Amino acid sequence: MTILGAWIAVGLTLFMFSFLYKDNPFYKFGESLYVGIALGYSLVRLWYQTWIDKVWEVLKSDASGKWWVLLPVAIGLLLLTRFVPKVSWLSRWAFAFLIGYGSGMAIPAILTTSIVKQAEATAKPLVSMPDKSEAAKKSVDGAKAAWDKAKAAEPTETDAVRATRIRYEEARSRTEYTFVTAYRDLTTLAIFIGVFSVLFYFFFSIEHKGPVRIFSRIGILFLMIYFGASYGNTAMGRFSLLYGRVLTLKKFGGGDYYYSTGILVVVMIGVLTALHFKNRGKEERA
Amino acid sequence: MGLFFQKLLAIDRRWIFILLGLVVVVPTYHPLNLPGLKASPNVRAVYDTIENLPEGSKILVSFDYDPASMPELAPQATAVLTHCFRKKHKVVAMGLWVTGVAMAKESLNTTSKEAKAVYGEDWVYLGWKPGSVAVIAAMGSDIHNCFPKDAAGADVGSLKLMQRVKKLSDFDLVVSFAAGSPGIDTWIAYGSDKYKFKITGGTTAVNVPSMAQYVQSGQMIGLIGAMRGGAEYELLVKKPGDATAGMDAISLAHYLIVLLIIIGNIAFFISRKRKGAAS
Repeated sequence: MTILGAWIAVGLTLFMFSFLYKDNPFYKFGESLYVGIALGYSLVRLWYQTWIDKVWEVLKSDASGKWWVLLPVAIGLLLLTRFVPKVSWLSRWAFAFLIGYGSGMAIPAILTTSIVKQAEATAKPLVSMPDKSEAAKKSVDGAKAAWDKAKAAEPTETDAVRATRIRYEEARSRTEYTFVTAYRDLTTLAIFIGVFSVLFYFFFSIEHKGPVRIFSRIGILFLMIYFGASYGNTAMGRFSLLYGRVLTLKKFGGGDYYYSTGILVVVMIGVLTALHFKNRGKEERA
Repeated sequence: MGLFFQKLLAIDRRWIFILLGLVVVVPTYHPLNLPGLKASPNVRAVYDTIENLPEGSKILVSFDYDPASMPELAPQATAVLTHCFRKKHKVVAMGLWVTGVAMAKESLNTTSKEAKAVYGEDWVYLGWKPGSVAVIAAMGSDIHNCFPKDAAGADVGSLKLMQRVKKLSDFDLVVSFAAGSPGIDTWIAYGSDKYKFKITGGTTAVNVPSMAQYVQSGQMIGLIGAMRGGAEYELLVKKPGDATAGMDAISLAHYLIVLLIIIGNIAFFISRKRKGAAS
């Protein structure tokens, strides 16, 4: 069974990769299979986790005491009335419930998380003031002691020693103005300029000319950096996925799995070549 | 020379696919062990958080990804779980993505077996529940009501570890490995900001820029980004795995893309200059 599974995994991986050559029956088969399996799997899980667990089992154990579980079922079923034009208006009740519940959940949460907390983090003082409290001083002393201890244990700066040094420098930067404080302030300034210039770029109530134009152009620069970072990360993500598949091909390509990768690659190349010659005449005529 | 660049701009893209395939396949079969892998501050922050928790702390690990993101997130999850079990923390796992159930089981089984962790005492797998936001909200008040049974069908109340955990705020840390939404942002918006627990996690490369804002604002502690982040975590737990092995291939693929972008730009500008001169 494991060997069959390995051959299926390798085969389907190669089917999907064959699209890089051109659209072909292998790819179409793999794609349809994926969509079908994903949908089927999700439906079965939903059936068991929602209907069986949340309704059927509950009613079986205590139908008279927990009859109310049928209420959400009834609301859900109202959605299906969309298919019957005469009573389709009933589905609005279900949508009203969904939208009301969804909005009630989402609006306060998103406002707090994505606006209030983010605004708080953006509106930091542009210049850090040294913290002269006793607690801060104690924290520096503690971090220094931890660093000294780590240094004494390992004379060369290993990762662990480096971590304690960084913690000490972090703590010290809060009680006096150091290079780390300056770096933090510079970051705060960059965030401040970035946020406001990008907001200005999307502010269309005044004409973008003079200083406003310069500021909005800075906003474009920040946007470009974000898009560049996103593109770079996307490329890295795709390479990771490619590597993941190559690793599967390598893992199942050995003798333990009867050289599935090598055999299937040869078979696929053979079939694709045969298909190419078979369809050449047709493609030329088309 | 100009003609060469014009031809280069019109090159069949399948040559690029072959080149890219080669730079990924060759180091996979013959590792080059390229130097330069170091833990970034964000990954170290995640490591330090788990490292500095007292032994036996309760950690909720949410597997919020599907097979498409497995190469990026599975190594992260495995490295973090290894660390948690090594530090003798108690792990409760679950997922918000239906297609992630099998992958969560695999990571949990492998790491718990290595650490000789006992199911029910040291770790529990609750499985998946539909509803994402509603699941987090329900867990905030009563986990046992939300997950009356674990993934294997056992009564959650009968598991020793779960008797110590009733609601989200009982956890010392929540870790989400997320390929999108529902994921880290959902856990922050509907979980940590409301029920006040510490949260950290890992995400795919595509999502790193949008999740980094939560680290900067202090809403989450550190962030493991993509396979590279997974490799950094493997380095910190001193257990090289799939992510570390993949760094050669990923690095070479990046070099190739950078080279192709440079060549493509040179070719574009030279061709444009020649066209301008000709007209």
